[in-house]
Amino acid sequence: MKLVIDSSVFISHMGTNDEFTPTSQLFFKILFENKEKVVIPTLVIAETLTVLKQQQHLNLQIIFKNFQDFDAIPLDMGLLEKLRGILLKSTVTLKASDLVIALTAKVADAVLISWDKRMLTETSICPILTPKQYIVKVKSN
Amino acid sequence: MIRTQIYLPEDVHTSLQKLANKKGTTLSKLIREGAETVLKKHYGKKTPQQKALHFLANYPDELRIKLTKSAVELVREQRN
Repeated sequence: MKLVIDSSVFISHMGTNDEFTPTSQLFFKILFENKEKVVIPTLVIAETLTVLKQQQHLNLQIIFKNFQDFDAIPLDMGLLEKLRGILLKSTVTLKASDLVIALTAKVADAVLISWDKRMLTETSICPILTPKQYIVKVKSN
Repeated sequence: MIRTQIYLPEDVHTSLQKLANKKGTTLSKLIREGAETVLKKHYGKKTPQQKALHFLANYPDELRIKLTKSAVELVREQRN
């Protein structure tokens, strides 16, 4: 299963006190054990680094270096062309950033993983799961 | 495979070509072997992505931060 991971999952994983921190930690352990293929939108990298900086993270360099080892999909003209196609075809309620991240998952033929209820309920262009749902799915297989 | 163009110093090219002839292989195969050796030296047996996932799966506690709001709220603030 190829996955696109949303910023909320990275932030909760790197925090100490988010309600989802323990599940996010387990999620990343399972990803590593299963050697899952992960694709990251560059927007997620920018958001995660910005939030971590605002939350006084002390070593952004190590986080950035780690992100560089993943396959990153940039918001370029090719992706915007696909975005245009979706906007012309259907009604979209997602915010622009949410849509770009969901579109990245669609283009990569991946499952989007997020803790964000808004994304979970309003994303229709790609499959979407919470880390908890992913863990349940993997354990049941 | 992806086709790419590289520049080699003349003496390296000559030596590699000689070695390829001697081993009954091709220059391209030797260059691919060399590239794999460099990657293994840098990443060990793990691919770059496995290395990144290993880091996250074993994320150091000293790098963890106390969040002022939930992760979802913090991200939502960036997007709204």
